[in-house]
Amino acid sequence: MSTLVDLQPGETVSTVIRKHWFIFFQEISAILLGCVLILGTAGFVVGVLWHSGQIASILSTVVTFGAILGLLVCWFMLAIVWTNYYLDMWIVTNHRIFSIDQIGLFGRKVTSIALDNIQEITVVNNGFFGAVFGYGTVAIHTAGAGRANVYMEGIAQPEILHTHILEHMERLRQLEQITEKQESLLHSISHEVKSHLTKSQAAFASIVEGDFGEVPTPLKSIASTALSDTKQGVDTVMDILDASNFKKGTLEIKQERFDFKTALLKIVEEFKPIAAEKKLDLEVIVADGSYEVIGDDQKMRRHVLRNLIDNAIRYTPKGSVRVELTHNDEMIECAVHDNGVGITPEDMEHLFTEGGKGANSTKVNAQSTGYGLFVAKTIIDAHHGNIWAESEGAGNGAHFYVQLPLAKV
Amino acid sequence: MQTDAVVSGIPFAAIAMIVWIAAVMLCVGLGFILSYHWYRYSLHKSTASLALTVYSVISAIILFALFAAGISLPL
Repeated sequence: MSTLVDLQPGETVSTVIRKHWFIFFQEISAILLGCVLILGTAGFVVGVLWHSGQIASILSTVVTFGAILGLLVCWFMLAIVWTNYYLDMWIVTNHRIFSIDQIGLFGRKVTSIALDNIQEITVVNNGFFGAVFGYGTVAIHTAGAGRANVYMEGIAQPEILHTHILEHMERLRQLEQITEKQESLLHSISHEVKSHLTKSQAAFASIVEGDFGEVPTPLKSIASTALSDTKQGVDTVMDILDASNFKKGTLEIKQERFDFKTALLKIVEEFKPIAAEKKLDLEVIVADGSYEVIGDDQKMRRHVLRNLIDNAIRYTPKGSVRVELTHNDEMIECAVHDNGVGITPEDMEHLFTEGGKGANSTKVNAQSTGYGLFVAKTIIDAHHGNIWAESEGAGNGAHFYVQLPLAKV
Repeated sequence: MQTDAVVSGIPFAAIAMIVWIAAVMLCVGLGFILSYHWYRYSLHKSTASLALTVYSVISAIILFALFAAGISLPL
C-alpha cells in the first residue's frame, strides 16, 4: 500500500474500490468490434482471392499479414485499457479517501480528501446499464479553501459505499469529541495538580530556607529533595499545560525585545551546579555581537533553553556539554552539543512531536513526558525561528540547533 | 500483365520483416512500461505476474503468426 498512498500513523485502509467490470467491458467493446471487423474483412478478401492465381495468392498473404498486424494493435490497446482500468482505484481509510487515476501510460493523479472535510456526498445511478448491473457514481464534495471534489464513477453498489463513508465520518466525529473532552479533562487535572504542587513547593522552600527557624539536618535534607522533586513536577505539569494551551490556541507569546545572550547565560549558570554534580563539563562559547530578539523572554528560557540544556545534561552520563551562540546579519544560532546517549533515526522522526519520547529517554529519564521538545518547537515556531536536531545515532551524542531572527535596529 | 509485374517487383518479405522487427520492439517496449506500472502500483503482485504472463504469451502468439505470414511472402 505504501507505493500507492502514504498513510499517516494510525491510519488504516478500510476499502479498496475499482470500477464495475461492465465499465471495462464498455471500454473494450470498440476494440473488440475492431478485431471482429479486421478478421471478417480479411477472411472475406482472402477467401475471394485465394484461388485466383499467383498474384492473388501474394495479395491474400499481404492481407493476412495486415490483419494480424491490426490484431496486434488491438491487443496493445486492450492491454493499455486494462492497465488503466486495473490501476484506477479509490482507497477509503479511517481518515481519508484517496482517488487514484491512471492517465494513459505515463500519467497518474492521486487526490486525497480528509473525511472531516467532506461537505456533501451524492449518489447517482447511471441509466439503464447502471440499473441492470448495479453500478453508479458517488460524488464527494469538500468545503474550505482547498476544496476538491472526487467522483467515484462506475462503482458497484454506490449506496453501500455511501453508507460506509458516512459511518467512517461519524466515527471520526465521535473520536474528535472524545479527544476534545480528554484534553479538557487533562487541562483541568493539570491545573489542579499544579496548584497543589506549587503550595507544596512553597512549603518545602520555607523549610529549606529556614523560615521556620533551624530544623534538624535530616529534615532539611528530606525537604531539599522534596523541593527538587516538586520543582520537577511543576515543570512537567507546566509543559503539559502549555502544550494543551497551544493546541487550544490560548498560548500567549509576548512580543518584547530581549537579549538572548543574557537569557542563555542565566540558564547556563542555573545548570552549572547540576552539571558539576554529574562531573560534566558545561562550556559556553558566545561570539561577539548583539543578540537582541523579539519575543517572550520567559517562555524562551523556560521552555526552550532550559529544556535543551537540561536534556543535554540528563542524557550525557559522562563527558561534556557545549553551548555555542553565534549570529549573522539576520539570524542568531544557538547550538547545544553533547556526547551523550545520542538519538536513533527512529526516535529522530518523532522527536519534536507531542508525547514523542525516544527509546533512550525512558531508560535514562523515567520522568520524561515527551512534551518538552514539542513545546520548545511550538515556542520557536511562534518566534518565526527554526529548531532541529542532529545525531549520528545511539551512543554518538546529539546536537540541537535553534535559529531566531535578530530584532531590527 | 502490367499489374503482375508491379506486384511481383515489390520486396514484400523484406518490408514485412522490417514491420515485424518494429512490432517486436514496440511489443517489448510496451511490455516494459506496462510491467513497471503493474508491479509498482497493483495491490497484488501475483496479479501483476499473471498479467505479464498473459501479455507475453498472447503477444508471442500474434508475433509468431505475423512472422509466419511475413516469411511466406515473396522476396
